[in-house]
Amino acid sequence: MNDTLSSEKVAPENAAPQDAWPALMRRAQDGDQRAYRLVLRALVPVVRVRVRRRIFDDALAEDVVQDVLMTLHRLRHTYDPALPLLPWVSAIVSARAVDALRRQGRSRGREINRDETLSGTVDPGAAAAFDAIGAERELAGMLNILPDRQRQMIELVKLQEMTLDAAAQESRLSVSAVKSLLHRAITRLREHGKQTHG
Amino acid sequence: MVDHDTLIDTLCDEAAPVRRVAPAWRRALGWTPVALGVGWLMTQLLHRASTDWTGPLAGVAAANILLSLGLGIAALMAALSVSVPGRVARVSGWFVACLAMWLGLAVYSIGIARHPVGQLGHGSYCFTFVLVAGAPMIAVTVLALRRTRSLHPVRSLTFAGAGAAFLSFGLLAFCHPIAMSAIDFAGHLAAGILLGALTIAIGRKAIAA
Repeated sequence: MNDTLSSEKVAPENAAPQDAWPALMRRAQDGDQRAYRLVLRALVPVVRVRVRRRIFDDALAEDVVQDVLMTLHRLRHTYDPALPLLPWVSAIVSARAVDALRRQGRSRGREINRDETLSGTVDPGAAAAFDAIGAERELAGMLNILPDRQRQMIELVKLQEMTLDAAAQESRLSVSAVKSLLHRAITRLREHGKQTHG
Repeated sequence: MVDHDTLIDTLCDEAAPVRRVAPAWRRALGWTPVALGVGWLMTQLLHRASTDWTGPLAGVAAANILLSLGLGIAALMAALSVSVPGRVARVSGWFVACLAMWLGLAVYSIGIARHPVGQLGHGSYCFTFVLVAGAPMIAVTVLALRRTRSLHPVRSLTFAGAGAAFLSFGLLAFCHPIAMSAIDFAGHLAAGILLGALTIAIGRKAIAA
């Protein structure tokens, strides 16, 4: 209707007083876009408070506020300016909040929240990566039971796949000492495995 | 907290003048002749025997017609009223009284019948008549409700279905013997309930706000 007015912003401190709402809505019904903007902006905090009485999820509550605004717009011809505005708005808020909760309830019934399945869908290689991380953590836990020298030998020979000579050189030990440490480490790990897994 | 200003600006920019909805009673009085008219036209497809208006019980038939039409208009008014956000359909004392009188007339009509219980298949003509008369009324009531749409479609359509059923009963009373059997009356009620269910099934999505 009025382009200059339609683009102007209404500061919250300029929000229309409640007793002016029916008159503003009447003007909005007659096509006064400025009056419509004033009344809608004034209604947002009221709608928000009423929505949050029923919906505790912030994101869902804001979705419902938007839904209420759109419903107000679609049904604005049903408002009778001779009556107070709030009962009309409250009925819309109530219906939209209940609809949102019903929709949420239905989608919760259908959804399966499994992080592994979700990550597998997004990245097919994720399952293998998760397995590797799990195995690594398990191995780290097992190696922690070994003394430092034995753990070092396991890491060099079994994990880094060094030869016995290379491991001996790296650790400045003789090859027979490396063999002995490895043997003791493996025996200890085997015993630990028997105790923990039966 | 989300800023809804962009949405508000969009809604305001496309806000054209709208025609305010008339009061429910005025809309109901406007739509009732349309519903009765299309219902009457549809029943021309059926064979109709006229009520005996010269007999001593013609007053009962007239009262039945008036009560049925009155209840039909009241139900339609309630449907149009509850479709407006924030309005409720108050079941007033006179509505309950009219319903009780309508039921009382039905009991009286059963009481004066030669075979009060009747036989299976006795009310098949009335059943068909009510459905044939009521079917186009469903379309009319759904059309009437589309003007406002409804936040509670099932509630609005239940009243609308009841309205179509009672208006059909009103048309039926023009071509129905004053005495009727219980099975015949059950046929009337079954057709009315079926009309209500069809109204909800057909209109639920069409009038949802």
